[in-house]
Amino acid sequence: MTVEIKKQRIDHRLGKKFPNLRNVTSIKVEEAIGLSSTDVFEGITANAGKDDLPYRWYVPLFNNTGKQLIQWEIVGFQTEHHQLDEWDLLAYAALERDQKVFVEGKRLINWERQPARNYIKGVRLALDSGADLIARELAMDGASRYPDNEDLQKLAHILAPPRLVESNIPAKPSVKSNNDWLFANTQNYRGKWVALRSGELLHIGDTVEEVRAQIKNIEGVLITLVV
Amino acid sequence: MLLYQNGETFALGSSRYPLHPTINGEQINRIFIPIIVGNLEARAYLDTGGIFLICHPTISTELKLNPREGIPYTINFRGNKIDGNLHSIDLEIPAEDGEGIKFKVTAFIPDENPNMDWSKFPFPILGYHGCLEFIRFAIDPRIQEEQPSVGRIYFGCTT
Repeated sequence: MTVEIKKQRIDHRLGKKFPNLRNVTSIKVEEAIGLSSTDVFEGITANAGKDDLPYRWYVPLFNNTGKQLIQWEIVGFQTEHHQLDEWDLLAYAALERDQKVFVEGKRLINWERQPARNYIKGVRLALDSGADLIARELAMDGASRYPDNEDLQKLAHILAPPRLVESNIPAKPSVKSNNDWLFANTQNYRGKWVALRSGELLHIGDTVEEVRAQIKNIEGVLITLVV
Repeated sequence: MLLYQNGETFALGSSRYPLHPTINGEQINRIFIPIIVGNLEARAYLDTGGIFLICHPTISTELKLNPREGIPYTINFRGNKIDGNLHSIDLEIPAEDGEGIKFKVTAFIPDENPNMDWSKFPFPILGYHGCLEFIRFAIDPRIQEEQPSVGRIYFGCTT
């Protein structure tokens, strides 16, 4: 069954006004993108009576075929529906910081046919959605497909998996001496910020800014809170 | 250091670490290990459920990175929305014994914000993805009976 919502004024709980709609859409929403019906309907109810506030909310819904997307746009208490494409779904995911929705939207896009600008858009929306590893995947894929695109190369460079720069770096005596100092003095300086150089206490303070202000050459200095 | 049964090296470096909360009064203890970012020494705590190296502003100020060269990013930390940028930076895990390693990792650098209370966020955080995911590490949680809050972390690079 395809959801049909005409422009309506909602004065009461949506479930009371449209009992059948509530039943149908809640199942589709949950199955399709992992949103709970409670989230959707309580959000509307919670805003009822606040019609003086500018209010806009987008609720993506699927029809029974699972292919056609409908975006339910609620402005104040007016509702209407219109067609939604996959990119709107990604934008919704970013707005709501919803990784599950982003994953679903990304799956619906044929990335092999996307121009470079869409990869860039996808990376940014993925980061806004909290789908950080998908952002990395899109950045790496896009950079590989478009090696001349500077923006994609930058995104891929920053989001790339960690890579080894140097190994076999000799042990640092200052690490041991700073550790020795901290293990021996925690009780006496708990709650204070300290500056140490090779196990020697340089400064003490109540804030990191206070300690930092007393140090001219920061190189080789450990500034840390004693907890 | 640490070897596999066939003699292959697992870890070439190690360092003692303290186990304590991130702020006074917090109930959960964390593993703090020494790190070097640029020329700065710091102590960061491991967060294997986290992502990226999350830097404290003390580090970011010293690194003097241009925000325009990063990727805008926002984190939510203990109820605080923190804006900043992602950058690619060198992270060294120095060794107390054995050999240290240096990796290029993704780091979150917060914007300067005079209204932010950084006392809730006093240490950098070493996340797993984007930071530790290709580093071998092993924990010996209690190396001395008389100091139960001191352990040792062994680390090495994957081949």
